[in-house]
Amino acid sequence: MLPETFSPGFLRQLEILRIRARRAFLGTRQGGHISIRKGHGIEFSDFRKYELGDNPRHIDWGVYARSDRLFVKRFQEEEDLSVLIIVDGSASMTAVPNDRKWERARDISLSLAYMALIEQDTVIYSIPGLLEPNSYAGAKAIHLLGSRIVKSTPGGNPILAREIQRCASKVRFPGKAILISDFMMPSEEIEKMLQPLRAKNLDISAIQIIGQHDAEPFSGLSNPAVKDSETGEVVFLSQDPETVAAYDELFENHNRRVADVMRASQIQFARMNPAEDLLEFLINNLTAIGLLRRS
Amino acid sequence: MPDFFGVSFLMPAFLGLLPAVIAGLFYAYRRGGKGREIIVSTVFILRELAGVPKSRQKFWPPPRFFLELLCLLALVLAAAGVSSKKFEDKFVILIDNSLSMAARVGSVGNSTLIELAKRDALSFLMGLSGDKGVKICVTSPILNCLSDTYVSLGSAQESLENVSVAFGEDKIDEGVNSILLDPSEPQIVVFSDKSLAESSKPHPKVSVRSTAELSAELQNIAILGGQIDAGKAAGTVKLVVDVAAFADAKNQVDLRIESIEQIGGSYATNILSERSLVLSDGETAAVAFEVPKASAYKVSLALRQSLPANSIAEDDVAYFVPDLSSGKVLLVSDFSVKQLGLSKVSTLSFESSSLAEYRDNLEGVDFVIFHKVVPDGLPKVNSLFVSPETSAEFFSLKPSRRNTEKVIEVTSWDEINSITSYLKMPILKFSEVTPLLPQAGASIVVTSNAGPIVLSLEKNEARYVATGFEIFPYAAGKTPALSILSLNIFKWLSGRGISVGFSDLPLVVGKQFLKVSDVLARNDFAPGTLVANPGVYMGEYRDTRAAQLLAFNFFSENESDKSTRQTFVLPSGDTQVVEVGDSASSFAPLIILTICTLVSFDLMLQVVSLIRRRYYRV
Repeated sequence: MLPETFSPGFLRQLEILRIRARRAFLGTRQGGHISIRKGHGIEFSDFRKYELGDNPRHIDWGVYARSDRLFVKRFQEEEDLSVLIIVDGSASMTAVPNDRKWERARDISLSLAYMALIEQDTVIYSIPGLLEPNSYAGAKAIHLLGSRIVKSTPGGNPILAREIQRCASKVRFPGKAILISDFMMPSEEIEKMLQPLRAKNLDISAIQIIGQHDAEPFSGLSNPAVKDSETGEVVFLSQDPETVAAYDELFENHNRRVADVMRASQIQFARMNPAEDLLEFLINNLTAIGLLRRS
Repeated sequence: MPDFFGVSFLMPAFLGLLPAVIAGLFYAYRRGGKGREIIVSTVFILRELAGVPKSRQKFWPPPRFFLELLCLLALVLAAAGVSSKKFEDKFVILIDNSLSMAARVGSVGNSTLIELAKRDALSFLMGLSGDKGVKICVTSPILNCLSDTYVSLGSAQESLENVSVAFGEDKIDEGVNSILLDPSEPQIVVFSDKSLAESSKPHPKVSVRSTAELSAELQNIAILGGQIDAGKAAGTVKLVVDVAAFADAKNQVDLRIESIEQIGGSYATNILSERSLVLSDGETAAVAFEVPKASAYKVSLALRQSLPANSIAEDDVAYFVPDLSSGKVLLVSDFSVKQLGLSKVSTLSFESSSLAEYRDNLEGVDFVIFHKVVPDGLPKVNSLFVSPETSAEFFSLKPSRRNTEKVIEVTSWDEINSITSYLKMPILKFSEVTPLLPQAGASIVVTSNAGPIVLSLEKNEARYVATGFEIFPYAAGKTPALSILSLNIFKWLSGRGISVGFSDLPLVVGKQFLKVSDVLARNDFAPGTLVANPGVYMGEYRDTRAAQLLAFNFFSENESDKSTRQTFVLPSGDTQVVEVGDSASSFAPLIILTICTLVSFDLMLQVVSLIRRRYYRV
């Protein structure tokens, strides 16, 4: 069971996109991504001296005729990619229903999972505190994953760094890691979240979902008291123009810091407003940062 | 129906909601204004905002909180059925607290008459049953009720404690008359040491509980007056004290004169002279002392055997402040000094002159009195124009008015003018006046309903006063208001005091004073307060006048004479009695109006808030 967005037409559009890893990883089986393993692929890699036991079929007889020495040809192996998808399902993603942050995060993650699964990649999908990290393989697994996600009710205040550590421990072969969150947290906490992924030598991509209410919390605010959806902390606001301007500046600084953290860690980073069209975001924005490519 | 300060509640159980309502509103505002916070994704950026406290630890609610609190309180009060208390039966307890009530009665445990009256009033109140409204009033120095409204029996019993003797005469008849004007037609119960005169008709609304029988057995010795004159020897004064005995036997009385002088920062007394005398029943003695000059004097008497011969101690002390100046006054009149009663003013010497010759006799004159005559041009000395028949430079005359059509009375006066000090202006009534039209910078001192009647002018270092009515003949105590006015004018024109050494109580501290201080008791009286006890006071004036000592006494033969049966007369009893109907009137309409107003304010605050928000978001 997939969300309504995933119509047959939408799925066909997704099939032209592939997840792109910035470097080669060791796979577990034959797939669509260049592996660090040299073997029987079709793409030539290099030569090496013939050694006893090598298959005589790989001897390059042309080189032997010219140099009177035996060399064997080596080819790049193409294997599957391990794709770890982590979606922040904490209360901050659903606190303001009109923002549709959770819906967008869910649809993006499911789209990426679908792209990976049809490429015969292995997908490890997790919603910290909500959906345990499990491996999914094969195009049909998208339905199982979709139904699990749809049945999940996001909320709570999970300790993201610890949960991501648990997810990373599930990864046997390094590959791609995609982290989807609003990143409305101090940059130190973001660093802690990224630490286990970096330790696993994963190719990390991050997508930030920023809601309208995150950008303009004063809009429509009829009450001076606001409560944090996760911690329950209450702060009282004076709704004067000076305070609004100060918030705008703080919010801009925070977003700049998040981007800086990502850039410093060489993490592909994209920011999405839930009001944007999902397909356009996938095709344009994620392709632009190199997370996706057209097949 | 419980009664709180004259307000009752039909369903007082609802008042129990008040703490819960107030606590609930506080809780709601502590939680964020409306009781529910707006949930946002995260506050980690919001909490960093400058000027926004992390948490509103110190709860100071917005104006809207108070509006809502008032609304809730009004709703609870409305639910509790708040209503004004209207008692089925009303009683006024009128207690005579004149000086005579200070008398101690040996036969009833040495209690004072006022204590006996209060005890009697208390037992009367305890004897009342049901829903009765009571007001406690006293007669002296003026009719004064201890509560503005009728209160419950319990509250009335408590307020009885505050009744005490005042230095004043009883005005029971005036008090009863005033209370009878109350449209709610209360029953009046009078507690007094005086008895109802035999000639007085009983009144259906008035009953009298007199302790006259006890008073009859009392005796008293009192100081009833005094005067200070210059002494024969230099540096001395002659102090004459009037002592009266209202006793049935000879009593030896010890008189003591003490000086009151400033020593360091405070005033202290020092004994100057003592003398003993024997007084028979009804005998009055004028005892003269020649004592050294002092700032003020305290005279006190004592008896070898205080009770029963001297039942009132409060009238055994008197205070005097000497004013030894003696000025010369020229009278220009067709009447003689004696005919005009001016010979009674002992501190001034008067000489007569004619209008044609007065200019030749101005040497050494403090001021000139032009009685019914007006000279050509303003004299260069201080002058008083009494009832002038022609206009002068600083006033012109309007047609005379007689009181045949309506009573001519004072309507307004200059309160800070020394001419009107110590004077209750409204008690002045006139049979005929000639209104004066002020000219050339003259100022109006007193105005009547016929027009200005007293003018003053200060020009070329001279003072002038004109009265549009006859102030003579000077009759001292027989016409006290007119005499004080005359003396005040003389004092202002001569620039010196001419009192006999004291003024009568009570004194309402007028606006001319910054304050009045009791120099011995060290109490201060601000303007508007009442000086009710005899003593020596320092008066500090608001204008340029120097501060001076003032003596106040209360002398009343009626109050001090306990050997004579005193009576009073009630008004006739032909007043129509109206039954008082309902028992309570609800405040519901007022409360609804209050709530509507508060809600309107609340809405207005909301609109202002919305406009502000829209302004900065756009």
